[in-house]
Amino acid sequence: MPKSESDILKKIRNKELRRKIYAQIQNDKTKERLTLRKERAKEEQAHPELKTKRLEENVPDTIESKRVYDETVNAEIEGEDDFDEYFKDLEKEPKILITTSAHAHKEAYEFAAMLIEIFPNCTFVKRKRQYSMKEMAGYCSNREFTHLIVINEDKKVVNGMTIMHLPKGPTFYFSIGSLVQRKQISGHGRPTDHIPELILNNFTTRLGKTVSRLFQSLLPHKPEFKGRQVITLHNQRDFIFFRMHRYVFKDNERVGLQELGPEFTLRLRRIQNGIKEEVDWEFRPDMDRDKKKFYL
Amino acid sequence: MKILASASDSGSLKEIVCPRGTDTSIQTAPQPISITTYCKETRSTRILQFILYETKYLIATRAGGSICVYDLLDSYKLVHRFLGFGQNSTDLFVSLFVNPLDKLCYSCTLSGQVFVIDPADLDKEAVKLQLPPSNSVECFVCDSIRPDIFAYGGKENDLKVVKLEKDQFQLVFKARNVPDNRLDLREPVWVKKIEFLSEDSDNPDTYKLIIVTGYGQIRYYDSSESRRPSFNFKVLPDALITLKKVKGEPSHIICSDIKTTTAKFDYKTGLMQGKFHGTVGCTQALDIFEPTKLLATGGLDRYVRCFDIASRKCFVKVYVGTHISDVMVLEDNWREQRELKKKKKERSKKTKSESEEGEEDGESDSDADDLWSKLEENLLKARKKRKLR
Repeated sequence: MPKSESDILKKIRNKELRRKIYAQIQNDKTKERLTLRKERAKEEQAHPELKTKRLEENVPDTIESKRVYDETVNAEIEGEDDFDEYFKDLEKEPKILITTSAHAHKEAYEFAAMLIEIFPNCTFVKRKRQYSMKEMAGYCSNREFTHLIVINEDKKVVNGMTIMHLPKGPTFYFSIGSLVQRKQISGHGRPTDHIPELILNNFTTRLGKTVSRLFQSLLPHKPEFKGRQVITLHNQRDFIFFRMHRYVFKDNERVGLQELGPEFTLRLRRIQNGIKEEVDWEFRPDMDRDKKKFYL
Repeated sequence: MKILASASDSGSLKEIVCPRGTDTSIQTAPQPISITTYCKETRSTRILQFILYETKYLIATRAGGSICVYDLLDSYKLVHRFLGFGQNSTDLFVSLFVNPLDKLCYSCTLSGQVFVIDPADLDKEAVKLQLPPSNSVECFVCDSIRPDIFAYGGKENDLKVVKLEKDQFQLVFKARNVPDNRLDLREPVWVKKIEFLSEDSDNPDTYKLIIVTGYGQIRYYDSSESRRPSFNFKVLPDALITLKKVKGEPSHIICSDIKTTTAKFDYKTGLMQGKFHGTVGCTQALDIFEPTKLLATGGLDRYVRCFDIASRKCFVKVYVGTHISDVMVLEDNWREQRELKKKKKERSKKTKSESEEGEEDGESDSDADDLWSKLEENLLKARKKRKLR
């Protein structure tokens, strides 16, 4: 606000009046800005080169654009990894076993039910306290399961998920936050049994590629396009956003989206080689200190 | 400097040539001169350990039960491959070393099978030996001053020292487990790495060894004192998987665990002397380059790092792109390079000063004359003043 305006406002001693005049000033400013924008839009419609020039000149600084250099970004994957078997054998379909942490509550079972609806070929087994994670992984590999998912719940809040790739690992641990259940999303749809498509956004580093390959290996190779269901895993600043939608072709150009839910955010905390063996990568709180350094 | 690292994901060997100060994660820092891949195979036949035999051969054990001999002088060309070692595909090699006294190459598998190769005569078949029956073997080492003395251990297989006589291993020392804990429960045993600390002055029947365990303990054994460890310290909560003795620093060792810690410890006090910072994944391989006292590390974070052992500063960080199972520094001509640089600087300084002197000769003479004349004038003035008084 210019000095003269603030001086005028300071001199008005009636609070109500001052508020009204301040609102009027703000309103005038927005109107002025809008008219300027309209004029600019007209000009740019007539001369599109002006718009391109303006957009080239006014590039806003974001944390992403200031990202710390990482030599692994978009580098080719060298050699093979544990997921190579899935990508080479196009006939083999994933088989997932889902269970919860010991002493789980209703929330963990609800989350497990949601996962069963999302991922095809899932089996839920109630957790038995006498078996450790390594023992469960052994039993699952004997029964030809390709993944073991253990949902972690603490004080009736689902807060983490361990995904083990079987039989030789690796083991991933993600923390879960911002969970929105399907029923909380207004206008949500219900997923069908069709195999969904998968969109993986912005997994660029070597570590990010390992994570993206894990998510790819959770779904069969060929999605059923008839179902028009799509799972999106969008990575932004090392937060992985999970969303599920159904798309509708309204006409030749427009596409409508219906959210199927649930919504939740994953954060990679640890990758271990094998079944919970040597640490491949582990999150440390000091990694968050540098806001411009990203690992996925 | 030249570093060799075995890349697990591609089953290859990588030769890194880089100057000191190299850091691939900083664009403005010096970058490696070359990273060359040799001996490429598959992940199922990845290199597990490798060693140098004199300056002639590089010997590597591979998953799947083979030992390969590569020519060091002919860009790591395969010279000979010994096949069919180990009971099955999961019976991996755990140790590989050349006995410094008999110059034979020994390798050992998880099941306790020992294979002896003579690198001087590669046509000779490998000799197969069997360690005394026990649980899995996770480490097998030889003594540096006695050619026929070896030590081994593993999970629920406590430290044993054996003597090789007529292709048979005779047990000469068997460690006793530490006393039961305060709850009167037996302490579990999990030997991960062993090193002999023998010296020439030692009694021939005395064995001094140091081990690290899968329960984060460091133990020192002296057979002349007791069968139980003389020192036993739990230094870290997680399993220790590597061990290297620092020569010239009494009672100092360098270990790394299955998490991100790589640190120097004093095995007589159990105190950590300092950490080697920087790794974000488990360090699986350590190598100490004695001439320049540097430590090379490699592991699951896909970086090869070099540290100065005394200051613990990282001066080389190179992204390799695959998991690293073993690492070795071949040469470090840093001192020579430093001296060369110094000489160059001195030479350039000399030439500069000579040229400047040549230019300034005339000016400097006139300056000196002025100065002398001024001094004389001042002296005259002072004398006059004195006379006036």
